Amino acid sequence: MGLAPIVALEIGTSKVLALVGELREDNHIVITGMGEHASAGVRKGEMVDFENARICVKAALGAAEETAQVAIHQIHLALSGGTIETLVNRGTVPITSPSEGVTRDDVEQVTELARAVNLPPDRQILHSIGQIFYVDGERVARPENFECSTLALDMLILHAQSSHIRNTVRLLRNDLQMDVVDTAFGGLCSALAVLTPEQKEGGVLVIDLGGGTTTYTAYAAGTFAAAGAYTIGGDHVTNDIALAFNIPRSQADHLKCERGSAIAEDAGGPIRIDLPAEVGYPGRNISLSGLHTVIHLRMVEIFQLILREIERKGIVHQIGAGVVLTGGGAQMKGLIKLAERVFRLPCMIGRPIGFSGLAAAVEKPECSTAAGLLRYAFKNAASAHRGHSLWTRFTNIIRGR
Amino acid sequence: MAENSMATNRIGVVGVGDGGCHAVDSMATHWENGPSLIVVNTDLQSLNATHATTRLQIGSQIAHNRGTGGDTNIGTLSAEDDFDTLQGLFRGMDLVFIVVTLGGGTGTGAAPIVARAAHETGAMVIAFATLPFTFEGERRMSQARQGLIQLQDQADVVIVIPNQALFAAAGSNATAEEAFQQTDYYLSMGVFAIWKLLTQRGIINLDFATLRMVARCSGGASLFSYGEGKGSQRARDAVQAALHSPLLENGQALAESESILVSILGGSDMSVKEVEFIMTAIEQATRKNAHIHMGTSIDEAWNNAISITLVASRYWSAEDDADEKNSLEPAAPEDPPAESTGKKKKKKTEPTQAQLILEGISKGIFKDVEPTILFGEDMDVPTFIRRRVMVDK
Repeated sequence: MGLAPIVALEIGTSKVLALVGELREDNHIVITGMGEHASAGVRKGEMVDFENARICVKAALGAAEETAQVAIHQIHLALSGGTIETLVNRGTVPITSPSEGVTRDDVEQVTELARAVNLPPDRQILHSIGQIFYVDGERVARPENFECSTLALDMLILHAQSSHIRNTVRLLRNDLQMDVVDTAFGGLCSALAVLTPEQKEGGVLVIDLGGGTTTYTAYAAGTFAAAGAYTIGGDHVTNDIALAFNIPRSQADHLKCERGSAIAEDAGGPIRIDLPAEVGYPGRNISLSGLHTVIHLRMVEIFQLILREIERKGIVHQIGAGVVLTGGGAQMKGLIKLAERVFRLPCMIGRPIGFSGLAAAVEKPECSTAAGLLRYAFKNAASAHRGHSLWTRFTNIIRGR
Repeated sequence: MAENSMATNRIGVVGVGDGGCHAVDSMATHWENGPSLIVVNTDLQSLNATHATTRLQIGSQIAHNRGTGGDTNIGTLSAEDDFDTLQGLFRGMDLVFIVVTLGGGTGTGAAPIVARAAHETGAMVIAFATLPFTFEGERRMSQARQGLIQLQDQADVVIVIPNQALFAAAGSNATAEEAFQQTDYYLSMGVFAIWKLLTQRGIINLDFATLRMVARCSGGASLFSYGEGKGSQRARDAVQAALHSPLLENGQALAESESILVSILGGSDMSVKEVEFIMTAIEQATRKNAHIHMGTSIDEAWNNAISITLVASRYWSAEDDADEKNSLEPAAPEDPPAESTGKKKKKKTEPTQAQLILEGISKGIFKDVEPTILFGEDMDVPTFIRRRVMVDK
């Protein structure tokens, strides 16, 4: 199709991941390059130590260049920090000549209006997503050619703290000479990577469990319905374990990954795990059920936060296709069962769908965000390439078509 | 549906926590053909010691079969963990009595969740909740008040029994053991009286629909009193005891009540004249225009004796809806024991207090970054510490 390869960069709390992708037929994306580096200088999804962060990003991009055999100058950036919030803004316009029906101009006008929100000076819009049109108060998905006197549009606005975005962009541009083409909300990217159209139509909640942040994205009736982020993630689980048993963080992280479970296993009796001695810490053994209790309590709390939020927004009953867990944290044992218990909906692990190429990247839940960002970027680029209007572009992209 | 001839199996009595289980256990040993008795607890040992027909252990994972150590959060989490099972227990029931002695971990934390489970299956929920004795300490009292507010949100009617008032009436020589026994007796008589009203025909019936209306229209916590009498003066003795009960602030609360539910239980020898005498005495003790609903029931075991149960509520709104009821609740001045009027409003500030205590103790790697504060809680502090869960080390 003549589209250049695109680079997606995610600067996460636990890892920096860069993916290079090429678009093939049927919107299939081949991942040709990948660079991953353990993250440093990032806490809760935000950079706290620029020098260390720079080194990690440079290493990840370098590895991606090497595997893909390309020189990287432009990147797309995923943002997952906890400063992301949403609001719904309704724009309404009168239709001047009702007999002609709603024209494309009317649609663009109402879109413009619905998009115009007043945010505090330190916030900036990341995405504005059309949810549903109203022609004389009736809900319709496509208003063109309807005869009516007023047209309204509900726009979901995702906004983030501008300083957070600016800091990251500045680091990439000034210190690494990278041009940031576009930014996107990590939770939205993950959803684009792991969901099928059927799931979006049936209503689905995607929870991306990252190291420093947990994001959620909800679709109802095919439309993007709600999103949010919490600065609570896998690091908190590790920290909880380290504090509970008074062990170093590295050991706690290892325990979490190797023996962790969000639900206490029925072992039929007490099981103890031996821990080797480390510098400053004597060797000891800890209770497996204690470990599971610590994880269980934290994960229940995170899920309940999200449940409370989508209950408050009134969309919990529109989620028919269940809950999809993705991100590195989704691989925790027992988590699916726990999520089913909390949400009382079917739950599954979400992996990128419609990607191929580097085996290390495809089908891994921790690559959902970066993979989804590739899809987001290609849809944007493809629309621009074909000369679609801004409106068509955003309906197509955001609605995940 | 013939509402006043309900089969017994559509009424359930559930004791939550140690105290609730104990009270329900004493019902189990005294009643024959009573409603189905359920006990719910985190402590396996205490469950196994009861005679109730159904026993449910909750939160086996969080509480490790041992109880909560007085932590209401564990009680709440435990009940939430087993929410589906709880709902299963209540399916098909029209009325669920919840019996709980507030102040401890399981009862206080789990009872609101149990009430919600029952309510969501369509049952009407009447909760009998005791407040702790003063000697149980200030912490249990404030915990109990928090629990009471949450219980009020979930149950149709919450009947409050301030234990300390009972203790005061029993005289200074009463032992703690006797005090607790009396609480159990009052709890079981309260449940018994309402259950009898609904299941057995008397001279005057009080049906389920009336009870539901009383539940809907009266807001906030209700008070409760009980009196019994024997022999030729039984009617007078019973009504005097009920009206001047320490549970009604020696009758003061009755004069201020908008709605009063009266249940009179006697043997087949109870006369209409006696009922009239009782009702006249009650009407004199209450304000004009108070909504009085009464019913009588007959039980051969009560020949030559009469018992009277009063449920009094300070609010009544005929055009009530859920919102209105909620808006009234925070203002409910139901604070029989003296020391606590300001406490109820502290619901919102409680997590902040917990946060202050914990600050700087255990944040590990997060101690130098901006804290994640949600709903007044510092999420960087491990959940198990905030919930005060004892973790197997």
